[in-house]
Amino acid sequence: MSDLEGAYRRLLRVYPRWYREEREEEIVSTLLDASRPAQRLPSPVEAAGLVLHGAATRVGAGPGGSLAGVLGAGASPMLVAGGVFALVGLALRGAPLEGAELVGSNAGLIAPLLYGVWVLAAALDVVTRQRYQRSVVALAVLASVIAVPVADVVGLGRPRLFVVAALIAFGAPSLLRPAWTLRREQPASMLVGGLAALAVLASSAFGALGSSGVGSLPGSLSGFGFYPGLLATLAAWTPLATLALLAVAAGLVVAGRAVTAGMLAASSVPWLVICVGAAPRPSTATFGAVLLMAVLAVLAAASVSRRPRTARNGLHA
Amino acid sequence: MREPTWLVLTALAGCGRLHGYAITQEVKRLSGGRLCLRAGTLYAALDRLVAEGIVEPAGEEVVGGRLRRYYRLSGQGRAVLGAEAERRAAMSGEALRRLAASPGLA
Repeated sequence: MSDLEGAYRRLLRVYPRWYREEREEEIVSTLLDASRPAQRLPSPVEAAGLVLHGAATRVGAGPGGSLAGVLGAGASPMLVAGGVFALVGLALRGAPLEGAELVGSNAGLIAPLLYGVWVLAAALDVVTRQRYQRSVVALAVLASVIAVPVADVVGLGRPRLFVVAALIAFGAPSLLRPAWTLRREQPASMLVGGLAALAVLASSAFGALGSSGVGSLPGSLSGFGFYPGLLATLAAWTPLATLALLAVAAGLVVAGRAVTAGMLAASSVPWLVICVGAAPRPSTATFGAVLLMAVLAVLAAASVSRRPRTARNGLHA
Repeated sequence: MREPTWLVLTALAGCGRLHGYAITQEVKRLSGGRLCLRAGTLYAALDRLVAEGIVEPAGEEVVGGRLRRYYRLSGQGRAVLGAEAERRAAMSGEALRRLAASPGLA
């Protein structure tokens, strides 16, 4: 093996193992065919391209490694995550997070309605045909967008800002994904991916919201001290969440899953930011929730690095 | 359809089946040396086109100890490329017609 071939094979290690098993020999052949006679090292442009597309394939961006692929790979799991999130919210009677006090006598009404719409949307997405998917999700996202003004108009308590933002985020990939990425995933992988997406998104959203100062905004956004109360509760989770995520990431590094570990560690950055501020002591319940989130994040990593069916079937058809 | 995809499909349309390196060479020739497809970009595009059913694998062979996998346009791919070619031809025709109609403004 020449120095150049060795260098190319090392670069290709950025791609996941299943991809290399199918394509490494072919890609190395193409790279060597295209090399200059006395070339000993890959060109920087060639190397950057391989690293970029390899990383995109590894994180489950799907065929092409493009933004479209990312949206396509994430849309269904995110939608299932929205459904699970809404189910948890319904089970807890609209109060999914401890310590958040309700405002007004009928404050708990809008959020459960919104949760109901989302459970319905996620269920319909699983059982109906693909061509209806975008319409169903669009209705659910629309319901999320108008929930706050509607709550004000009819004089009910607003849903939590985080709830509304999270639900819109869950639906956005489905609305933005291009048509060619529409395909039916296995229900089991959608569920695992959905739970994982929920965990990662929640950890990032909690941290970002808490550190952005959104909760301290006066008037309409803060909703009479309602959202700051929620964020104070979230702040209590941060030290343990950070530790748990970093501990799992360290374990993955030992297990040779450095890229996955990097992703996981990166998702703890918002928690680290919020840790800088003073937070009340976390309870046993929050500790348990954080552990659960870490477990789900690991499932996420396992789920996204799996071989997509299209790639497997496409090359051996 | 973006330029690299257009050129990859055009390359495959004229040659029956091509392996990865041959596709990059044909694309370079078609673009007058302007577009040099790198391996990462090429295989990302091929993965996507295979997933969409526009391109299909067309056999493998080992040449000089190196594995070559061949690709060709599928029936659907021929239809997609044909439609895109007609669209581009119509646009080009329109541009030429407008230029011819207003020679003094160039």
